[in-house]
Amino acid sequence: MSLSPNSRDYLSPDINSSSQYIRRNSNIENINQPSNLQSSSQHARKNSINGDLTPTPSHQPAHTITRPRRSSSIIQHLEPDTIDTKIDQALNPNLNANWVNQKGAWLIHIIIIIILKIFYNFLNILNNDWKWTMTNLTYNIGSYIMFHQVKGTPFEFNSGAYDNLTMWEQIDNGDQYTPTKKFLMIVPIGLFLISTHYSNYNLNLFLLNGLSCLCVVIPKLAIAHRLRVTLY
Amino acid sequence: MASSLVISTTTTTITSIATEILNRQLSDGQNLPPPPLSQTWQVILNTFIHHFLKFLNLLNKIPGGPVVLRYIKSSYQNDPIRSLFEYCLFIFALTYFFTSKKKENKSEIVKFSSKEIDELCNEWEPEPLVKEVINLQEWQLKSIPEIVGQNQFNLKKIIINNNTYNDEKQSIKNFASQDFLNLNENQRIKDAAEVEIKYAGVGACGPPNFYGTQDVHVRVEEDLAEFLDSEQAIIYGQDYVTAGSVIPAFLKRGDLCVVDRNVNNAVQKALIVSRADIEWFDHNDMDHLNQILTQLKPVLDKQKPIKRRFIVTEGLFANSGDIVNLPKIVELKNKFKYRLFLDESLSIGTLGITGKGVAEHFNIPRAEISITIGSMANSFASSGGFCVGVSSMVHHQRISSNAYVFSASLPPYSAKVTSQAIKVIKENIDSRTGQSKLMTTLHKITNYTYQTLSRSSNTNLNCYFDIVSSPQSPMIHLQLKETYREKLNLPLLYGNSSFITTGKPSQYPNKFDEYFNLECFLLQKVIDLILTKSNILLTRSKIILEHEDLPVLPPHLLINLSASVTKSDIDMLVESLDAVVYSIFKNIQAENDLINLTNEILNY
Repeated sequence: MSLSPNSRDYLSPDINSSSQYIRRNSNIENINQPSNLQSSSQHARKNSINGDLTPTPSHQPAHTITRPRRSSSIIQHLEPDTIDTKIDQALNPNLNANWVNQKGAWLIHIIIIIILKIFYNFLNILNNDWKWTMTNLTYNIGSYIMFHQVKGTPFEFNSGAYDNLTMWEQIDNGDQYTPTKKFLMIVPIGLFLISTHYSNYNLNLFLLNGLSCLCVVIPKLAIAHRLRVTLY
Repeated sequence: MASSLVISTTTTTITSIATEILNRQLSDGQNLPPPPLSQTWQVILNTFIHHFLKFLNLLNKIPGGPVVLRYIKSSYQNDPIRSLFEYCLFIFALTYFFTSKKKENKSEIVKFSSKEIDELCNEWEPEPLVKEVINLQEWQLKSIPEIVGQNQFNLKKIIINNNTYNDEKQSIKNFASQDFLNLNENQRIKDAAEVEIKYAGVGACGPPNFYGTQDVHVRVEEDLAEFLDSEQAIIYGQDYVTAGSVIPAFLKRGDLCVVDRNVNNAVQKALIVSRADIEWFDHNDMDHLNQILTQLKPVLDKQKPIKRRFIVTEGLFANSGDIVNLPKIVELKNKFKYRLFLDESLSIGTLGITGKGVAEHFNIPRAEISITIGSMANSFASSGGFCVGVSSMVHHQRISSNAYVFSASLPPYSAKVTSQAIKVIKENIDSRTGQSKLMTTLHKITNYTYQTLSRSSNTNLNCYFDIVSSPQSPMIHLQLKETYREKLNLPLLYGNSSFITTGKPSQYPNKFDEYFNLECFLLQKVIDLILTKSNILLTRSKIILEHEDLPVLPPHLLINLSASVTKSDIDMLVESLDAVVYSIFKNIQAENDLINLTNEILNY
């Protein structure tokens, strides 16, 4: 789909390139000594194993051909981050995800839910069942977009090291079952239980609440970490 | 009360089902088959529910229990599946809550005991910050010429390798400086610098955004933008970092660069720092570029969201002295929708009728080049780098280009000198032809030099050297002929090709290469001999092999022309070069002769 940095394996040990020096310079082990280079046939004019150290190695772009094809399955895991990406991620604190750990950021979820409920209370066309359902739905849609839809960071400070990760995956560097993640998991479940309760167990509303709750709970599971579902 | 009510209803259903089953069995006796499995299952389920409810009733006895019980009671609503879903979710939330923290990269974290840590610390020996210069490389340091007096075309006295060269009768002609317009000697530029130093001192005292911008900086940005026919310019304190700061400001992971295989070291490092994906096209090979862009097209068409794409190349190549095929590149980048990044460090002030670089040389509007970077340290006789382009592009750099934000600003006198240099280049423009007189002089002498160098009468020069640079380049690159290099068994290229073939620079820097060292030394012999014999200072391409990530071209002998070179200087240069080349290369005809130079290197 895209030329993602992960599609090329930066980690693979680069044996060829390092060995080519060894071969070329194998006869000058101690270079501080006067030269013991010999005029010999060992020293080839093409000084690399593959013969790629020539003015034109081949008229083929190297990477479009070696770049691995994406599998066509609907569900696939992101390839693990390369060492370069991890270094870039560690260079600066991830300001995009770190604020979630603040106590105020926890509180704001509760406050937002209360404000939403108050807002819907003012809409008199809705009965009480719908008011709770709407509160639940709004919170779930909002948190889905925020935590699971948008990828990357809004401001650039890691050379795009987080570009493939959702905010949920960025929180606590992808560690699972951390206090913040526990809190964020429990909020939609609690809200669902409360809203079904107050919507008097109307079956349709129950389905609406339940499905929207699952939509934000399932992506938060540990098994869904770095999992991508592509429907189109 | 409430709980007992629940229980009573369920118990009645259980008993009714059980009695039904019993009744059936009793009434039909042995004739009937054993009851269906579903019924048995129901009995078991009901018994379970019965006991479960019994436990639930116990909740009544603990504090807070009645509330929970009331909730459960009202939630039941004769729909066990719905309740089950809620219970499951609740239990899941509880298990999630009580699961202990799990590290994401646990498998990669190696745990050491404190003893092991101590051992490792004791074993660790720091690498030296700077590698020691080995015997075979010492000559390179010694061969750097030391100029006594002002750096200009006619030198009074220079010292190389502790030998002093000064001729009372005749000055030493300097063909080593990259001050192509010879503005170093211009009195007005010297005066401008002096006035500015007296007024503002020698340093700008801070990064541009933090007290580092003075009036002259703003003026030089305006002058550069106007001179290069672009909207805006931004200046950097040093030219080497310009590419390394501008490219990462616009490119990051997942963005794509299609890059010439022969770009200079600054651009190589900039590309590595940016983390962008890189495709390489053969040096100035437009067919190859076209082929790569065509192959990338289907991949990029599907790309969502669209990432930035650049074609990165140089105007006048520092490594080989040839000129980019700009018309074709512009055509291709418009066809395939790429942006163009052009390093015009050497071409501005040397190419084009008024010195506006390679764009003017090919008569292409500057607007076609999205990002142009250049150096003020060459033709402008100043220091620092700059970047020109549209306002939004320049503005983006003011807060997100590392060297601009974090690095000290250009000294004010350098900025002033650049403004003055631009004025000098612009002011003597012939109103009839639109050509700058200074540029015309340079172009004429460049043209004459190429003609003289390629004359067939220079038998020795033609026998050993090829001119690899373009005939318009005032920086003339002479490379040992491939046939001769083959005789000496010198490799086609030095360094490594890992960056080209894998897209990732080699993990280890290039090691010391004895053949490279020898070939450089061979050229240094030419430089030294021509200096002793004819008082001409030439230079050679000074590439530090360890720092190069791309395959390195063989070292070149460089003749840097400047506007004050006369035809007689060139005649003398070519004549003596021809003689010197003969006297040096006649003795070196095989690989063994080359290797025998090692002793000479050690005793240099």
